[in-house]
This record gives sequence, structure tokens and C-alpha cells, in this order.
Amino acid sequence: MSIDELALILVRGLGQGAIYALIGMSFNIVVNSSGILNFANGTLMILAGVLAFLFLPATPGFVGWALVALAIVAFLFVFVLLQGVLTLFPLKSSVEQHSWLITTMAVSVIVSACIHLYGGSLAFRVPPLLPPVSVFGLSTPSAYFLLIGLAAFWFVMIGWFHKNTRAGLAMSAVAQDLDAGKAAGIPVRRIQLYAFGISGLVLGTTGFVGAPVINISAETGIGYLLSGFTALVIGGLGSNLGAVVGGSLVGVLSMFAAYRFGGIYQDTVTMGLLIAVLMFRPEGIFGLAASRKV
Amino acid sequence: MSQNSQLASADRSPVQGLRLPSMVWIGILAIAASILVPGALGNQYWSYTFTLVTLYIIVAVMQNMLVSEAGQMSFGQGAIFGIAAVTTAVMIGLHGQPFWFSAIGGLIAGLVLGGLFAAPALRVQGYYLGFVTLSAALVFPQLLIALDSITGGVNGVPAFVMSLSTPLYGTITPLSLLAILAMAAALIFHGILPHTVLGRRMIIVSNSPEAAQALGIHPGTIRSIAFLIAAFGTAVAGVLYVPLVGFVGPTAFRVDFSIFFFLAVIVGGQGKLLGPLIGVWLLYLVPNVLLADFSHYRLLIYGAVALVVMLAFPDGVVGTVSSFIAARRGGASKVAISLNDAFDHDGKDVQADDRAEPNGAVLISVQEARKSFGNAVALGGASLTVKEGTIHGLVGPNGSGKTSMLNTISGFMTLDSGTVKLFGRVVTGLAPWRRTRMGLGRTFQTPRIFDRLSIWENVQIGREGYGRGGDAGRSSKLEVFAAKWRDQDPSLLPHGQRRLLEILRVMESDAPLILLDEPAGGLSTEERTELSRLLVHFRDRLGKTILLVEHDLSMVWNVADEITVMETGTIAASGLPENIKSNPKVRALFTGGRDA
Amino acid sequence: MKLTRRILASLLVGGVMTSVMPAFADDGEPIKLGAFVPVTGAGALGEASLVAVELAVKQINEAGGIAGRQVQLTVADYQTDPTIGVGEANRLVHQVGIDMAVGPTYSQVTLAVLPLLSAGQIPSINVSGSSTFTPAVGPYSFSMLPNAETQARAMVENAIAEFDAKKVAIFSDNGAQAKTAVAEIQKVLEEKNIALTGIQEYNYNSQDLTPQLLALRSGEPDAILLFTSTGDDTANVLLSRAQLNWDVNISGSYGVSLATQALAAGGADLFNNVIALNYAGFTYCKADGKPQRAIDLVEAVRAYKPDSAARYPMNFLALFYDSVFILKTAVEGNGGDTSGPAVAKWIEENIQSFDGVNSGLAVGAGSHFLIGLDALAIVKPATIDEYGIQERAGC
Repeated sequence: MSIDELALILVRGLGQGAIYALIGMSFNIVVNSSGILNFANGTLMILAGVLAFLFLPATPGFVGWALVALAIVAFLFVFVLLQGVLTLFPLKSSVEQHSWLITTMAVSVIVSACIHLYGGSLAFRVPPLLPPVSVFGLSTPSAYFLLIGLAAFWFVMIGWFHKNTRAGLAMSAVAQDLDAGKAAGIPVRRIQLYAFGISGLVLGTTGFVGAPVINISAETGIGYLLSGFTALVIGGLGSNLGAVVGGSLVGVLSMFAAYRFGGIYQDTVTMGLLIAVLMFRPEGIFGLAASRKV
Repeated sequence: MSQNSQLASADRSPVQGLRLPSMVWIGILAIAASILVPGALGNQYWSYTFTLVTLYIIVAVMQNMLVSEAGQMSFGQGAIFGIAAVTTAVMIGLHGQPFWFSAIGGLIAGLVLGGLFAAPALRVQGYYLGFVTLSAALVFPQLLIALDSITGGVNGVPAFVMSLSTPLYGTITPLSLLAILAMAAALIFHGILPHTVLGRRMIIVSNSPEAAQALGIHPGTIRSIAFLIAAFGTAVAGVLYVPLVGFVGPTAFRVDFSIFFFLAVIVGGQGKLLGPLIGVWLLYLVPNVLLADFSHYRLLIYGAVALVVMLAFPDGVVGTVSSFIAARRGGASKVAISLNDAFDHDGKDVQADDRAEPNGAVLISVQEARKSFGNAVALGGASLTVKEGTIHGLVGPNGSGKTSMLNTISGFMTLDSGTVKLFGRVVTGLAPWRRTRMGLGRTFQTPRIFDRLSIWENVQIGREGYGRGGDAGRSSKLEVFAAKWRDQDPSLLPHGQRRLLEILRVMESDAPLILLDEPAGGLSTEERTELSRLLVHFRDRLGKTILLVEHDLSMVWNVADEITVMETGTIAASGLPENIKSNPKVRALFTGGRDA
Repeated sequence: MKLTRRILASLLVGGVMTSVMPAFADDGEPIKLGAFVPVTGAGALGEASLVAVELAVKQINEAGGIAGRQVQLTVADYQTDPTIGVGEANRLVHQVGIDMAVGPTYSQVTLAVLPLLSAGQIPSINVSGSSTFTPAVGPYSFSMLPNAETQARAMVENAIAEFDAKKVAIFSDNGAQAKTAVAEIQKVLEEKNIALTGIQEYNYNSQDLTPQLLALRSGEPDAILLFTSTGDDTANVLLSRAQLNWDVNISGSYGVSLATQALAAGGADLFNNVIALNYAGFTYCKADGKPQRAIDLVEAVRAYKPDSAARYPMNFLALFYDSVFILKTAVEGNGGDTSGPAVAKWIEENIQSFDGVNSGLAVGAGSHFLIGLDALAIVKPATIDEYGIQERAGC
């Protein structure tokens, strides 16, 4: 493998991996505050991409771009917040706490059905804001670098939020011990809804910034969801560091697998990594070992 | 009065375990009708649809068993179904083998994949296991395409079995009868399972792996068995799929096919016998049959239906409806268990001179045990010796390492250094369930009571512990209460009583060595007195050795032969109660506390 | 128990109601046409085919129907899943009682539903390219796709003729058609003594194909034989090639001529050194002028469903549009007989006389693929015009 090939696989792998990492982080925010895995994450990210396709002018100036970005991200915040209301509602009165599996997947199905009704199964192509960057003579879409930056941004922001804001501190408390949090008078439902909203912010920015390199169509959400999820499990569910590391690993590895073994073995290789990690470290690389049960 | 009627009703059905819930018969009738009625009328389309749906129900019933009894998240059942179907079809269609031989091949393939799923189940569980199985389901169709020289690849394999698909009457075929039979077997199995030793063990393992270990059950084994049973049932359905559809292709087994079965269980009602039936009917028939003419809006309506069902029935359709009916019928009567029930029903007090002289053999010996979690030191070189036939009290302030010591002895905590000996044998690295089988019993600070089992079954599992499940010859000391407790729901017991239930369970296990973790918590004064008497009874009549961790110091000083005091992970003092009492160090520890 | 009785009762009623719908079609009764199209499901392209079928049915009915009988269309969404496909085939054959069918487009599903269609003697025209589709499997069924061998041979010959290729690499998706085509391409290469430097595959809808192209680049081929199935995938391959600054020659399948998406995403430069196959009906030489039938179809679609016209490739739509008309011509050609054997016999004997958007159709010996070499042409994809018509390479 020559140096330019290596560079290409690394840069693009990390760029794809950033998408998985961002999906992983949006999983984390919600799962830490409520134990719910939002299986609509993939489709919600795609939704942001579709909105970018719809509302970005053909040749966007920076201001137009920023305004559309703001509108889309705000929309996703509200949308995912409302999704949170729907998801938490049946959990109040049920014995088995599994209804979120259905409610989140149902939202995913509904959103992608709407995208399908609008656009059929064809892909939506969103033009890049910045020209491609040359890496060792190979032109690389700028969106990959923006995505890596975005992942770093959210990693730092979420960390800061958890340490320095009241809502963030409450969220950390709830993540550590839900019952203790309740006992301490934290409005748990509201905190959980905030978490949904923030995950919407992460997904909205990801779908918007990544739109030029994300395959945006009605059916592709589930693929991104599963890749992001696999990355997160490898890195450690609940840990944002795990999401970033797992995302990078999965991104680079599947690029390498496509190069070395062929495109259809991407998922197989990723699954091999997943199973290896789970067998030797079930909680994932940066996951916390299960707390004492006895 | 209510007690009398309960006794009466229990008398009517003395042979427990063979009663089939009426839901099983309702389910079998409904499914048989769904296939036979259109079949008799000669309707090909409905026959095909309901036979297919019935195969899916078999898979969902197995999934239901996995989720609710065994507590295992598998999102990969579709891959097991698929591998059984593909193997069968390849053997028939590409190699010209007869159906029965191909069917065996399909079953074996399904079991092998089920075994592969079970392998990680020995290490991981819950949602983590779900991830492994999910990715297997994701990769499965891709591998079918990639390995086209074996599987027929993306073109799929046509396979016809004329003997099974030739109609007997109308469009009723031998195949549709087989589907009904297989489904009935699956439903009956699931109806009986919770009343068998295996079913109870699954419930214990899924609810509390540590309690399972404390009962001498190896959780991994039970999980593997559950997976293999589920794989078998699923593979049967997969094999029957081949003659029904006549064609097997990889896109039939995409990842959403696997997830479908899990969703059907949740939508129908997890743990409910009829849940899979309702779930599959709703999730398959609504989008694919009712909405067949609205293909553009099919997915949209499907999603909306699933969402609305979950909002209206948070526990699944059957789950929410049945708890609504139960609520309408009014609450169950209060139950209580008394320790007087549990021992010495003739009410005779134990006399001090009845006591057998302890022979002084050392049953527990912990030497220089050290364990720390990061900076926090749980045990800092603590040693403990417990002699046979004694009650040994272990006291100390919160966080002093009492429970860590119990966990060290029962094997739930592995030491950084130090040795543990039980019955004179070094067991430092031994798994908890193996220690249980040596004759060690224990209770937990939070009692491990299983609400899915009756009070009687909760006691009985103690007797089934450490490999004694088949010991029918030995009758329970509590047999007289069997009838009364058999139908009672332990979830109605107050917290303190749940502890007593756990103590009774340990007593039933016949373990000579018992560790009790704060057994008096939540008990009333009278109950504490009863408990003290029970402990003495255990020691003197039954010859048991007890290590007692307890905050109620007066109780400890009343019953204990020896006392060890712990402080910040080390032993502050150890010896006879009267010596400890006068130890100034100990007095300092408990100043302001209860009277020592 | 009440509940059980109610369930049983409703099942019984349902069963009776649905079983008293016999499927006899007399003269004057409408002809029932079934359309197997994947409207939903992974990789579904049914919407495009559905528009074409609907339009054809609408035009036929407005012009008096088939042999004087109106056509009634029933849609079967098989979700690209053979299990669902067989269920839908059962519904169409036994419940609706269709007289003829178009589709499926998915080889796997075609092979799964053919036994049912054959047993019901229902003539059908599908759009599947798998080599396992033979007259023995579907005696009353024909395909509007070129068979894999025809396409493979054309792709190799084009690479030799246009690029003077001595060593080539193969790049394809992992669909049934592509799989068979790749196997055929390898045979042809061996026969013509052309070196094969590498083979790579991709999953449908993979955005970034640079790693696969990198792997192929290291073999230094003179040309890539590219087999794609959708315009999106073609765009992805060509964008990835551009990002590698690699101007390797590409001899493409029919899918590579679906240029709209790639042109929108990266402009005409993407198609430098690219040739592809297209249906002759959508190609022209400047000297001859543009094909009027293709233009008529496009304008009819635009009038009927403007959204779809903008979105879907017209040459793909034309396959379904023609399929309905082939069935019409065949039924009318044998005096209104809609039975499978009669329709199949007519097609086998007279298809070359069919004059649709596609012409030059033929039935080879032992083959039911209607598109032969005569119905195909080599094109420069970037010359695609507003109607989806492309200039031929050899003018």
C-alpha cells in the first residue's frame, strides 16, 4: 500500500468514522439519561440531509448556508424533543420497559416513509460548501474534514455541558443513579427531554454538514444507524470517548476492508471486530464495567 | 376465609406443572382456525398467508421465551430461520436430496448458529448480546450472496416438495397441518416451561445471575440451553418455510426480518402466551394484507400503527389488556408468611441443653484478603475464621467491608491477594456456583425474590439448588405449606417478609454453611425475635453454621457464639461476645449507636 | 371464551367473503393486469416502473382497451423480498385473478413467483437479467432486459474497439444481474485472451467507492468494465474516479448510461473516457435525427406525472411501457386470447414486428430475453439530452 493510498483510507475512514461517532454520541446523551436507545437516530440524521437538499439554494453564500443550517438544526431540536415526549409517555405506566424499542423504530419508519413518499428511493445530492481538499494529490471532499471537526466540537461541548451547566450536571447525576437523582429533586422527565433535544442538535448538524458525503435517501438511515451503533458498542456504550474511538476504528477499518477485500465485506469485517471486542471486553473499550450488584 | 378457599383450590390441582393455561388452547384454536377455515374453503391466498404467519408465530413464541423467561436479547432469530431454510433448500434444490434428509440438515444448521449465538451468551448478556446477534443478522444475507457457490447466491434457490404441498382437502396440505402441529408444540412448551425446573432456573438466571450462582446454577449453561431450544423451534419453522414458499433467496432474510420477531413480541405483550400471536398478526397482516392495495402509504401506516399501539398499550396488546382485566377483578388478597410457619410447627422452644457440642472444625477461613477498586479499599488485609456449628456475627459501620467479606467468601468478588478456604479446601479462584455446590448458601441485602414465581416456587428453588433438582425422595420440611403458598404472588409481600422468604429458601437448600446479609432489616420487633429463635434452631437442631452480617447489635450479641468487628476493610476485633463488648476500640466505634 | 368465539366468527366471515370472488374473465369483462413492482423496500425502484405501467394502461384504455376490453391494473408491492413476492403472487393469481402480468424487476423475486404464474398459465413480461431465467422456468414469461451474456460480450468488445484494451479490471454492484454478468465477462475475456487485473464489488448505495477503485488502480488496467444498475451508483463510481484523478477508460453496462444523477453531481467531465450501452430506442446519430417514439413517451410521462418525469430514467420507464404494449399486441395478434401459451407463442413467432419505443426485439433459441444486440447501442453518456436520448459512439 503506497502512502497516498494509506492517506486516502485514513482520511476518508476518519471522515466516515466521524459520522458514526456523532451518531454514537447522540445515542449516548439519551441512553445516559433514560436508558433508551433511540433507534430513529439514523433516519433523523438523514432527515437533516433531506432538509439541506430542499432548502439550500443552488449556489449558497455563507450567510444563506448558515441561516439554513440554523433553521434545520433548530427544527431537529424541536422534532427530537417531541419524539422524546412520545417515547417517554408509555414508559410511565408500563411494567415491561421495552416500549421504546417500538416507539423509536416506529418514528424511524414513519420519517423514512415520508422521505420515500417525497423522493422515491433515489438519492438526494447536496452540493458541498467548500471545494475539495487535495491530500497527496487525491482530491478529498471537504465535508470529511468538517465532519471530523464537528465530532471534535460536540465531544468537547458535551463534556463542557455536563461539567458546567445546571442541566448538564443534573444529567450526569441522573446518568449515574436515576433513583438518587429523583430523590434529590431533579426533574428527571425534563432532563430526559433535554437529552433528546440535544441529541437532535447533534444529529441535525451531522446531517447538514455531512450531507455532501452522506448517502441521503429513504432507505440509508438504518445503515448509518447500525454502523454508528456498532461503533458505539465497540467503544463502550455511554462513553463519548468510546463513540469517537469506536467510530474512527469502524470507519477506517471498513474503508480498509473495501480496499483490501472488497466492498461487500465491509460489514463482515466490522462485525468481526465487534464480536472480538465483546468477547474480551463485553463493556466495550471505554465502557464502565457493570457496577456491583451484590 | 380467603385462606380456606385458596387451600381448597390448591387441593383440587395437587399435581402442579401439568396444568396448561387456557391461553394455550385459545391460541392453538385460533391458529388452527386461521389455517383450516380458508383451507377448507379452498382459498389459496389466505392459506398461504396464514401458514406463513403461523411459521412466524413459532419463531416469535421462541423469541418470547428467550426474552421473558431467559431474559436474553436476541435480534438474530431471523438469521437462524434463514440458515435453516437456506440449508434445506440448497439440499433439496441444488443437491436433489429428499425433504426429510434436507430438513435434518436445516435443523442442524439452525442449531449450530444457535450454538454460536449462545457462545457469547456465556460472556455477555442483555443488550450487548443483542448487538452481537443483530450484527450476525445484518451480515447473514450478505454472506449468502458472497458465498454463492454454496448458497446459490443472489439468484436464490427454488425448492419444491410436492408431497407436502399437494392439497388433502381444499387448500389444506400436509404442510399446513405440520405448521399447526409445530405451532401447537411451541405454544404448549411455552405454557409448561415456567412450571418446570428448567423454566424456573431460566427465570432466576435472567432476573438475578448472582442469585442463580448462589443457588448453585451456572448462568451460562442455562442461557445456552435457552438459546439452543429457541434455535431448534426457529429452525423447524425455517425448514417448513421451504416447501411453503418454494423458493429461498437472501433478500428474504434481511436484518429487518430478524428485528420483526422481537417487535412482534413487544407489540403483542412480552411474556404473555398469546403475545406473539397478536404481535405477528398485527405487524404482518396489517401492512402486507390489509394495506396491500395502498402500497405507497404502507410503511407510513405501518409505522403509525406500531406507534399508536405502543402508546395505547404500553405493555403490548395482551399485556396491557390482561392487566386491565386483572385490575377490574380487584386486587389479590394480602399474604403474609410467618417464621413460626417455617420452623418447629409444634411451637416447642429450643432448649439450650439440646445443643450439640461444636467440634471446632474450621469451615470458613479467609486469610489476608485484599481488594481495592481504584483508590477505594474494600478489604485491606482482613482475615476471618468461622468454626463449624457456630453462629458468627460480623458487625461494623456502613462501608466497613462486611458485604465485601461475604462476597469474597461466596465468590462474587475476586481478591487482589489473599486466600479463601471453605470446608478446608482452597477456593480462592472458584466460581460462586461451584462454591454453592460445595454446600454454601447465602442471602442478599436486597432479597432476590422472583415475582414471576409463586411463593412456594420461590422456596422450592432452594431445594432444586446445587444439582438436587431430581431429589424427589427428600420431602420438604415446609411441605405442609405447599398448598397454601402455591398460588400466592410474592410481589404482594412486604419487604421484610421477602427477606424471610429468602432465608427459608436457603434453609431448604440443605447447605450446611449459610451466609446471611442483614436478615433483620425491615422486620418488626416480633419478627426479629422469631428470627433469633430461628437462627438458634438452625444451629442447634439442624447443625448449621451461620455467618451473620447484621446492624441490629442486640440481636447479634444474643445469638452469636463469636463476633468479628470490621472497620474500613480491616478486622478491628474478634472473639467471644463478652470480650468484644468490653473492648474499648469497639465501644468507640459504636458510641452513639445502639446499645452494644 | 366470548372473545374466542368472536375471533372464530370473524375469521369464518373473512374466509367466506374472500373465497367467493371467482376469477373468471369473460369477453366484455376487463382484462386484469398485475404489476409486480417494489414500491417500498430496500433498493426499491418500483415507483418509476409503476408510472410507466399506469401510463400505458391509461393510454390503452383511452384508445379502446385490449381487443375491446378495458384493462384493470392491480399493483403488487413485493418489497424486493421473495417471501412477500410469493404472497403477492398468490393474491394476484388466486384472489384478484389476473390475466397477465408485468414485472418483477428483481431476479430473485421473478424466480420465486414464476412457478405460480406458470401454473396459472399467466403470460408475463419481467425486467430481470439473471441467467437462471430460462423458458423452462417461465414458459409464458419474457424479459425486457438484455441477458447477461449479451451485455457482457458487448462490454468487452466495446472496450477492445474503443480503447484498444489489452488488460482490464471489473467493477460491479452485488446484484443478481451484475453477478451473472461478471461471470460471463470472465468467460469472454478468457476467450479473447484479455488479461484481468482485478475484480471489485460494492453494495448498492455506497457513497464512497474510492477504496475499491484504489485497489483496482494498482493493477494498472487499460479499461474498467463497469456494471452498475442505477444512476446513483454510476454517479458514485464516477465521482470517486474523479477524486482519485484517475482517468481510466470505462466500458459500461446499461446502468452507466443512466447519466442524469452523475451530470447533476459532477458535470460532463465525469464522463471523459466513458462509453456505455443503452437501448437503441434512446440513441441517435446526428445524421438520422432523434427517435420520435422516445420523445413521445417522455412528453406523455411529463404530462401524466411531471415529478416522476424529472426524476426517473426514461429508458428504464420505456421497458415497462413497452411490456404492456407487447402484451396488448400479442393478445390482439391472436384474436383476443389472453392465455399464457397463446401469448407466448405469438411473442416467440412475431416479436420482431413489435414497434414500440424499443424495437429490434428478438427471441433467441432457448432464451426468453427480448433485448438482443440489435436493440442495444454504444453511447457517450454525457450527450444525454432533455429527453434522456444519447448520441451513439459509432456514428
